[in-house]
Amino acid sequence: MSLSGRLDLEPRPLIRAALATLALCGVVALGSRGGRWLDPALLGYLLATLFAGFGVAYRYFTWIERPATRMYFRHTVRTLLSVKVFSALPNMAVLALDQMFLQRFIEKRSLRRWGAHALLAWGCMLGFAVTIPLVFGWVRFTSEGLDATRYQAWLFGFPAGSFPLDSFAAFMSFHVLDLAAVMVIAGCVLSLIRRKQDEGDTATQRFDLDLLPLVLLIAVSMTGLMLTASEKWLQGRNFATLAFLHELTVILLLLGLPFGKLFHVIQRPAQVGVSLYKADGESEGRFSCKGCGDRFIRMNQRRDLIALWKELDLDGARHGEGIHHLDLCPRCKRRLVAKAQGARLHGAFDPFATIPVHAEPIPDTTSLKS
Amino acid sequence: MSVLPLSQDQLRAQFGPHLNLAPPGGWLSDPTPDKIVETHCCFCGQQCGIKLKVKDNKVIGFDPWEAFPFNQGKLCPKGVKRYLQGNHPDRLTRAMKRTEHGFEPMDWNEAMDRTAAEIQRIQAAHGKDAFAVLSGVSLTNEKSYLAGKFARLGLQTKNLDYNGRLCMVSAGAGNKKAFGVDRAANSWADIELADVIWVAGSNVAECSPITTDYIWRARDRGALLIVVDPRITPLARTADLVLPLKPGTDSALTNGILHLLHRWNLIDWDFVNEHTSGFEQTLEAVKDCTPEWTSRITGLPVDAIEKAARMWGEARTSFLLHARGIEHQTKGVDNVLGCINMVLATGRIGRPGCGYATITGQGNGQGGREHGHKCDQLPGNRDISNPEHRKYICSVWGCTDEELPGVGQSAQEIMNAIHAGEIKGLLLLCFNPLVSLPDTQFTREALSKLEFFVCLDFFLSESAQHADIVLPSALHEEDEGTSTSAEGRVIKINKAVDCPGDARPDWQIMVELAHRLGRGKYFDHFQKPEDIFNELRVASKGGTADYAGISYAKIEQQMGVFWPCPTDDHPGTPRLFEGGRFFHPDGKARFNPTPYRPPAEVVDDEFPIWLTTGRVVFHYLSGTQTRRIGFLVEQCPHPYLEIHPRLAERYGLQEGDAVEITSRRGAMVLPARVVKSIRPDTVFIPYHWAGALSANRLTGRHLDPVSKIPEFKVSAVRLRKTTKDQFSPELAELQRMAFEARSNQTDMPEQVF
Amino acid sequence: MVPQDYGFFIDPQRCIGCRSCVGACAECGTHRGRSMIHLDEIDRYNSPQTVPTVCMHCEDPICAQVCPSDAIKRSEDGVVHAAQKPRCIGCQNCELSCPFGVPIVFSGLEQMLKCDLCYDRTSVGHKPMCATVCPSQALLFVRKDEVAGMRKNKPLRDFLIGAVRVKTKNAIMVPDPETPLHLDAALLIDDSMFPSGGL
Repeated sequence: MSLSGRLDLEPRPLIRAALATLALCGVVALGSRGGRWLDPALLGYLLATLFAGFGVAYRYFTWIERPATRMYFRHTVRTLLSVKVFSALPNMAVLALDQMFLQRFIEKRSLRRWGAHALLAWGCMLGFAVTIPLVFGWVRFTSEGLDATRYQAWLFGFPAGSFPLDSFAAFMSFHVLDLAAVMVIAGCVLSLIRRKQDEGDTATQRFDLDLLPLVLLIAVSMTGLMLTASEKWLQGRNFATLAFLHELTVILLLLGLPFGKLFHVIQRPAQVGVSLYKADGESEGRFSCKGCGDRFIRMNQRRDLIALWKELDLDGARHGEGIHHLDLCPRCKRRLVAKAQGARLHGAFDPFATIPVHAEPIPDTTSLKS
Repeated sequence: MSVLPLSQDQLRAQFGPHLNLAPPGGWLSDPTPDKIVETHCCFCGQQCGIKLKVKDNKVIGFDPWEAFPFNQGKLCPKGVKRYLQGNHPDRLTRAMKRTEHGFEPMDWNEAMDRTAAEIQRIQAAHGKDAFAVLSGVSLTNEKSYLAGKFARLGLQTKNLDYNGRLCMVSAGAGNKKAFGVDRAANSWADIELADVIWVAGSNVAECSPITTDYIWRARDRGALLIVVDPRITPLARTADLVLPLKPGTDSALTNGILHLLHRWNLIDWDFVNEHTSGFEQTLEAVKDCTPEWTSRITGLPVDAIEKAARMWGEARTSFLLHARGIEHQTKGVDNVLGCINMVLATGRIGRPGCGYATITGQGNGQGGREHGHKCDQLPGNRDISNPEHRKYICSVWGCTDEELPGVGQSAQEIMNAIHAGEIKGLLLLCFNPLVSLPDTQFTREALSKLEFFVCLDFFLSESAQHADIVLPSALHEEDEGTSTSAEGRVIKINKAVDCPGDARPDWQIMVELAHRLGRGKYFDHFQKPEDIFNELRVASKGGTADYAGISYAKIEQQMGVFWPCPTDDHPGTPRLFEGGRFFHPDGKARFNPTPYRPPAEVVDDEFPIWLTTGRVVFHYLSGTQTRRIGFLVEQCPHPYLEIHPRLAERYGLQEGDAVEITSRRGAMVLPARVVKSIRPDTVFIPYHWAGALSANRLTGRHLDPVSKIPEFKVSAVRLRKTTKDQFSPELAELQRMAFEARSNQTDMPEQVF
Repeated sequence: MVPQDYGFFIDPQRCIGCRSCVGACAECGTHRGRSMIHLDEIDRYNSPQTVPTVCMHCEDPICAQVCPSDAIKRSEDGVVHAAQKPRCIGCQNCELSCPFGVPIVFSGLEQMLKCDLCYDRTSVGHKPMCATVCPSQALLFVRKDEVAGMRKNKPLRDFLIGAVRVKTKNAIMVPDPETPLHLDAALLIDDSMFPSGGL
């Protein structure tokens, strides 16, 4: 789809996204004590983040308005608003740990894929966990008064302890982003290598969708690392240029967030909702296939899919005797194609018409001597 | 005494069958090969072209070879997964000796010395012929030829035979009698051009799957298909006419058809008069074979027989295909001759779209039966009792007539002689008689009577478990050579990887052994397979199976060469008998009367049900290879009893129930598979398994008087419903293995269907 | 890009149930051990007939319509791809909704996989693995203009499920392709395909 197509904005998600962005602005204002604690050097990042926030919110609200997505979104919201919430929340926490943080399902896809993805994902998480509070002015570090050997940390404008410049805590605070950058670069490079070797990925991948995000992530991380290098070993040479480049790559990455592959970060938590939905359905029981009797489809999913098909103008997919096409298990649907073709072919030639032996009663087998 | 040193469980734990489920390094390893080798599939006589992907001296997968003209990339599931026989945990890599504690690895030279010493001891004490060789036709032409020469000149025994005796010999004998030559009369290309296709006793879809497409291509042109089989096989299901006759009544049907062809004057008299002889006597023999008589014998309705005769008789072009269904009988040769009579009477042979062929079953079933691998044969399909033929071969081999033994005993007869104590020593290669010969119990007794038994194999087959010395030999992809496909097309097998450990190609082992036996002068000049092939070319020159003009280079260049190919500039002969020229001295084909006789064993009150046996598409012969490949075992882990619902009802049997099947030879318990696709008076068991699961526990050792093929396809049995706890431990073990193979996949599909 | 002058023609009538396609599917570079083609017995008690099922590649795929995470995409060459790995959340909507029973959800992977016409092969001019190996050529992948000369039956790409019309890229072979193929559930229960109580 072209960009102009994407700009054909829908009103409801647009309003919701605008509200969400306003709310984000409010949170930023509040956390930075009315903007007083915002770091002027990070203003560009802030604007880009807010804009990306708007884009992501718009995309998110459009997404959950799709009938198929709403089916699951509603279920999760209803669960959260009902008494079930007490049993659901711990489950969701465990699922989120397993699926969002540890990403075990990727490990099952392949260990190499998981390794690359985990490095990349954890690196990003770590990076954003540090930079967002800094950009929003929620966290800041200043020199402690006149003592140039100590640093003072501020949280929401309140002093949150100080530490000496040469302490481990200081080292960690200043280099956690470098660690994140190294993880991201390693993850991206491993992903690129894996993609190069995987014939399937090679055939289906597209530069803009699959490779560009990896390239951008590498660019962000590299420029970030170079900033550190410039400061540490090159006496700040080219620091301004590098800072500009870093800012540029970060802004590009942020602005791309709502459109590209990285949006899955926002979508992925739906997986937790689906797990809850499945568990709910399992306790409700399964519906038996009208073709073979196998219990195959969970009751809630059958109900919701029939409603969904109706919304998608597919309600006509009903057979005689009240059988919906969704009442047939996948195997029976496959058998049905062959049977329908067989029925058509009988006009052409009937494979069975010429087998008379089986139509005749077989005499007592004990007398069937040659 | 070759009794087993260990329990079956211990042997299984050590030597398998274990399942190979994934390529070397697993599915997620880098699939980029170092090289790609164009070669052929080892599983069946069609010899489909296939490309093997090789990396680090291991076969890691396959690619379809679409340029190869026979199969154009098509493969059956055995072909698709054939590469998994390599890099296998069960693979033998060391010479082994059997001790009280099981098989122990031993030094190669020590193993060879001991083998040579035992051969010499037995032959000194009991005569040269007391040591026998049983071989197989999964071997290349080079190895088959060498096995013949090795037995005759290396061991100086007349007792050499091969497992084609269980496969191709009825067709071979019939073809030689009728045509004077033993080869498919046409390349498969003529199938497509036929207007009617008659398939007798061949489950084409499962046993020669690629042939299915040739038949369908003809049908798409409007050809009619007639299938003769007691079971409704996947191809028969769609046929224009199915003739599900009683097992063992095939020659009655062909006689009945010939009777009708004559009655309705659907005979090509010009062809018959000009190009054949013996028609009068043959007509005389079928004069009483009325449709009513035929119906009574075969159990087919009169109108179906008449319809078949019309369809066959009135066609303009036709192709007749048959396979083991009619050949695995005590009248196997008669059944083949009956089919040929139908072909000759209509004169539809030796022209485009007019043809006849047996569908060779074993990998090199065609080439392996041409060059002296049989007890009565010399290279070039020569006769070992013909003085002229002997003289020529003696001149090629540089031996005297006295040195060349005469006619030996056939495979089953050799086993009988071992059982009787007449043969004391055995060299077995490429053959698993404990699974493939009839009457398993008898075979086991025989093997345990051997004084010395040496076996060449790449896996420890059930038969090899009885051997005193086991020598590791080469897999198909570990050596080069030629083989000859069902069409008569000589093709090139290319080496993809090296033998692991001490393993080496069978031909090297035979050459080395001959050397140790002091017979090196006949063998030492063989340095590579091509040396053997070049001698084979000379030895076959002037014979009917003439390979003289075929070279490795020519095969590669033409994607196979059809024999006869007598000279270097000869392009080969895809279609035989053009212009009505047959291979008998007078150039004519022979009609042969085939008066009907019943099978050796018929049903009676005690054993009231017919039993027939056969293959499934997922396994190959005795299963030594395919029972070790995960995918294939998953699809078909163990044998079963196919039974019609009406017969099942009589015994109160339902799908999966345990049923005990008993014949005069033995009994076994299998799960019932209740299907309408089999005659209600007949049951079927696939034969690829060993021990308690061997269908050949039930079959008898009745032989065709001419071809000496056992009657695998007809036995009388009785059934008894039993309980599932009567299933053998082997069956439970196979079920467990198949289940594990399925569930070991970490990524099981969600269960919705 | 899969060449547009090539088509996939499926003739279940020819299928011999050998499962070559199932084995070969797993061997393709894209699939690596996971087979995405189905091979089903129609009703083994009554008949030895079997049917291979590959994705029909619908013009307006229902699987994509019912996908909550927008993970199923049809490329410009008409190929409906397996769910995009980052997006698919394994909900099974597609698996249960596909009119032909094609997608498979691998639960541990939280991922739907389906026939993608062996994109790695077809996009560089090869046939899909299944159609290359299929011994009976029940699965046929050839130039569209070659089919008439090869087959008695003709390609049909138009299906009816009740009142819902489904049009596809891949074709089923029938004698009369002018009328859509009605996938009527009554056929599943009806035994008239097996006359005389036999096959």
